[in-house]
Amino acid sequence: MTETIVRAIKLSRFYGEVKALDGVDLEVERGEWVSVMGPSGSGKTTLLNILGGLDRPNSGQLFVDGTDVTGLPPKELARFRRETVGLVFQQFHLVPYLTALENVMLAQYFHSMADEAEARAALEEVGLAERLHHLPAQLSGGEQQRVCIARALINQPRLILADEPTGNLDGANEETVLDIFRKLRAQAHTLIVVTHDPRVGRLADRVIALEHGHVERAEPNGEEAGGAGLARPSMTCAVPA
Amino acid sequence: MRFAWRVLFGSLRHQRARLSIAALAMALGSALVSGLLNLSGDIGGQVGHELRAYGANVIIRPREPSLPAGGGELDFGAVSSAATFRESDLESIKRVRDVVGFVPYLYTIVEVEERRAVLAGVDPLAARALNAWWQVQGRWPEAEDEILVGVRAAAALSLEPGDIVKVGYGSEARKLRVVGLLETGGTEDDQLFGDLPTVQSLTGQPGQLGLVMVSALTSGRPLEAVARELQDLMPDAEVRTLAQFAQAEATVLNKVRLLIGLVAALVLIAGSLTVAGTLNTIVMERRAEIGLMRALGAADLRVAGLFLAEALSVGATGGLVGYLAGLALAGAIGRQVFETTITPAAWGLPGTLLVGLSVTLGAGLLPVRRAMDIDPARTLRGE
Repeated sequence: MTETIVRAIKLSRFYGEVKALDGVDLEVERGEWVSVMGPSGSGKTTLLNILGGLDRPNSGQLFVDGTDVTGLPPKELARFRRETVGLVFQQFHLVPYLTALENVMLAQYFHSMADEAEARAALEEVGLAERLHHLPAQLSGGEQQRVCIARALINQPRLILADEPTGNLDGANEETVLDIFRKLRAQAHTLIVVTHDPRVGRLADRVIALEHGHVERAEPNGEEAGGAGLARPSMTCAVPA
Repeated sequence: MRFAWRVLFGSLRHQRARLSIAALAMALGSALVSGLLNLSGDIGGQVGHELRAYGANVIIRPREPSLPAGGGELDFGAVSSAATFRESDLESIKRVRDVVGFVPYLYTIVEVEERRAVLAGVDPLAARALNAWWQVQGRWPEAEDEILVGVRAAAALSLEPGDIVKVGYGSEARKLRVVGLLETGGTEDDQLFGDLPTVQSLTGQPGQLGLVMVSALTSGRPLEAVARELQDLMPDAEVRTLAQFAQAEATVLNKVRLLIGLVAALVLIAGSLTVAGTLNTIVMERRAEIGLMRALGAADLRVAGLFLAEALSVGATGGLVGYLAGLALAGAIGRQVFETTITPAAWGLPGTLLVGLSVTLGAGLLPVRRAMDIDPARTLRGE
């Protein structure tokens, strides 16, 4: 029995004359890993921003976990962001004067209250047990991205949205981050990952290809995800060279 | 709550250079405010003391006037040689707060060179202290047989310093030496001023006084209040304030305070603009951070709280440093201008801090409002 967590109906977003999204329909099942791919300017990030409550569509409707996100007033939209969504950014966006631990605690603080033990455990989970008290400038790109992922996960969001999560990482760090994503997938987290990288795209259960704001195609990914549609890949899923 | 402090301290540490400049601007403004606050507490007293150089502002006389008397342009009515005080009554005047000095007088009419003249018995030291504007050609009397003669009286009587003059009262007479000519521009110029015990002895009124001129500060309380207290202490006397003096003093003091207030307001406006500018720059520079916080779902109040807390930290630091600097400034002005030590005003520190915090809070509202308008999606894209 599958359960739809994201349902987007005819989402459109215009910036002046530019149609960033033009009538996009999308459904994502709970526990699914969906990759959104497409060339620059195809509307990937716009779609992700709308899914994450960072932007609003000009028309269309978006339901996340049963909530009509498009109709939420600003205060409720902020609550939606802190309670429902975990965001992973290409640029990491860590607060420069806070340590790794404090950056994770910041998300807790905005959600409800900071809990150092929980934040520590989240960072240990992504392999940063030794880097808790380092500032972002003292961390490598991969480590910063892992802090960003720990921060995204700390409030147990129902939907994890990642925008080019490996875009700024070298091969080794990319592999580490993808391993974490595989784990998350195995733990039945719902992931929507915007990526240019076909390698990352192939790890998803499904790939949505955007072109000029339209869904060009949406197809199950049979290669590495271990089967089409909602099949769950194992944690030991091989990554192609 | 503890975590909010960690974020606040981290942010302050991270931006210490820029915030230090804002705090310095506030410290400069606060220093002037603190200096002015500390001075204004004492300046009323200082200016009041300066104004006291212009003579008495309260007179005490017997209730039954019969003899014209006065000082300067002022008509004090008349005093009677029969209606007098005892010198011992003056002890009570000394106990009245805000009284900085008083001069006892005993007026009488005497014969000088076969002409009638008004002779006032005074304590020369007290009269000199109270009437700093009196001009004396020659010197003030130092012995009991020495007198000052008003310039018009001297001209009429053809007297000069060094002359010995015979002063008669009824059957009594004294030979007195003219040691100085007095010029006040008032009725004193027509009178003679001798040593009080000599006049008391000449007129047969030992220990008696006809009039007391009192100089009281008006910075602490209204002159009328001082007069009422004097009246209560001397129920048999008539105590009057010299309204025009009191009014002039109040006007001067009010103008001094108004000037202080205007300068403080201008300084604060300049300070608040500096703080607002700095905070605005900080908000612009931290757009990505604010965008991130909003993307993480931070409630507007929490983001605003963090930035306002930074603004208040700047205000508190600037206010505290400014208070201490202002205290030193007030002390220097007190020494250089008023030649006195300035006592720190009790409300100087809380007043300066309150002003500093209010100004930074006010200055921070607009930048924080701008922070609340930051679009997280755009700033995270780097726009």
